[in-house]
Amino acid sequence: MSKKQVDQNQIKDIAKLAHIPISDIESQQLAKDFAKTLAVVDQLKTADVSRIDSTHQVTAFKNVTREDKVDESLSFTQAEALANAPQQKDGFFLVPKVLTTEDN
Amino acid sequence: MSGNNYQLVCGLEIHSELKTKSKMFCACKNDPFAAGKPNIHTCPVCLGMPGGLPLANKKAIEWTIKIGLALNCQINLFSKFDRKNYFYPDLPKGYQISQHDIPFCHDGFLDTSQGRVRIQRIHLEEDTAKLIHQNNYTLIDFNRSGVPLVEIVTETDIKNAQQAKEYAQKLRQILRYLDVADCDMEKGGMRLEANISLKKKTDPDGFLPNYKVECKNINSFRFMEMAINYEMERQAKLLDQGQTPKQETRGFSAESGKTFSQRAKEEAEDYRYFPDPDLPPIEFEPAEIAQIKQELVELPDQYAARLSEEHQLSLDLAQRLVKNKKRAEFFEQLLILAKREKIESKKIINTLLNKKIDYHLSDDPKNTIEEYKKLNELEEMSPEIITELIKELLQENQDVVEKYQSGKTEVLAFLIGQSMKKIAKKVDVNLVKKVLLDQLNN
Ligand SMILES: [Zn+2]
Repeated sequence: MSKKQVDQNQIKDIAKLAHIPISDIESQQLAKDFAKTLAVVDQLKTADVSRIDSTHQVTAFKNVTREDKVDESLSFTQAEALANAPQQKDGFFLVPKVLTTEDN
Repeated sequence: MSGNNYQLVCGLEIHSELKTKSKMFCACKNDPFAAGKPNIHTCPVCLGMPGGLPLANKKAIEWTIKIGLALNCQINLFSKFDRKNYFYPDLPKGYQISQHDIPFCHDGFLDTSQGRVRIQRIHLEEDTAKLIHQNNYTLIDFNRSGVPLVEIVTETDIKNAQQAKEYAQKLRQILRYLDVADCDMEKGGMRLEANISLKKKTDPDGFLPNYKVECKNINSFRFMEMAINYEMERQAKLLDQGQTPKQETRGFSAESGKTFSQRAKEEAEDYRYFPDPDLPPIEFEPAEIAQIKQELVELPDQYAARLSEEHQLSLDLAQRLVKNKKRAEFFEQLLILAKREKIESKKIINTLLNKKIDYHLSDDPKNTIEEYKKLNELEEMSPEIITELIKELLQENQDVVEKYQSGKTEVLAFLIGQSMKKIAKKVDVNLVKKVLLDQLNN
């Protein structure tokens, strides 16, 4: 089993992307754990895939689609939609002010 | 180095919501603008609740293929949906269902009067929820969440702001002809984004600058044109000072006519795309694509070319008749009727375009033809009376008659005008001319 190197900065980047705050001590420990996990996953590299097409799915399904029909019985009422919202206002979900811009 | 030593390098990314009845991955109503109330068209899928299972809208996929074919694209017979991961309150799942490496359509083009704009890709994704920013908080409406959204991405072929505008307008025209999108710019049904940078005019073709400024969420063609022109000036100034413009996202303020920095992109985006395991891949047979191609309506450029050919109109004039499908159909009906009545096509079109006849696209073209005929109907007046009136006129203008007879024949036009005035009725001008000449040459 080859030894994988994962440094603390990589851990911090991943934590940032995942929106999970971690301490320095945690990042040190996680770096070690990630290295072990990656080493296990690395074993996959020994498999011979030269004769296998790239795989996007493992379900073997394809073209699972629906007709363009509205079914309001599946929809929530406004009150149902907002039932779990920590804060709401005039039928809207209310969240703390967002500073950055939309991104799609 | 002055501003005109630089060449614009610009590509557009345009998002357009599709007007399917239901949303992209659930059976909620696709009606984000007319809903009236927030959060009334939602379900576990488009609210991103755990366990919600997306199911792709077949029509939205077919329409995306249709758009691709209309824009001369290649179609991927195998395609799939991927998850684009990022955190933002308009995206409750923490990812947007989009298409990453295998979009439905790729490598097309759209021709503008300033040359071809190549289309890199067209993919289908879900729209996000609508955010309304207030002073101290943000409100979210999920009616828009999950609405089918196509993204049409060009290569960096756009040479100036005017061409960018023309491309975007033509694209909207095509989407409307296909009847797959309303493209309401003001409401956000169509959103423009321009990637703008400058290179030296001496740089080779295909050279890409080492920075890129993205102007996002522009909601009018004119604003896009202004934003590009403003950026060209701003970036040229920086380059002149030996600086490289910052790689960043900028917004455009309609009030100031300027772009402003929204977010610097210091690190490359990391969306960690991967195939959405909830959505099996989509595979088409070539025959299915051929079928969709067959169902394509005539597009504006083809429509104009045909009207021009069939009705002896210049292409420029024909282009003005096909701005939208309803207009094109009205004018085509009118031209067919005009032909039958032996009315000259160019004449009646010009009469209408110059607003000499009041017409509406919802009118029956038959009535418009009748009005045209009435307008052009010559009033009855006997040649004898015309001759009398002309004789009188010549009496009153002896000096002009003498000029004519001494060889200054250019006064004839003046005399024809005066005669028409004196007759004061709409009579055949050729008849008037004939009578005049007879009298003058007597
Ligand atoms: Zn839904």
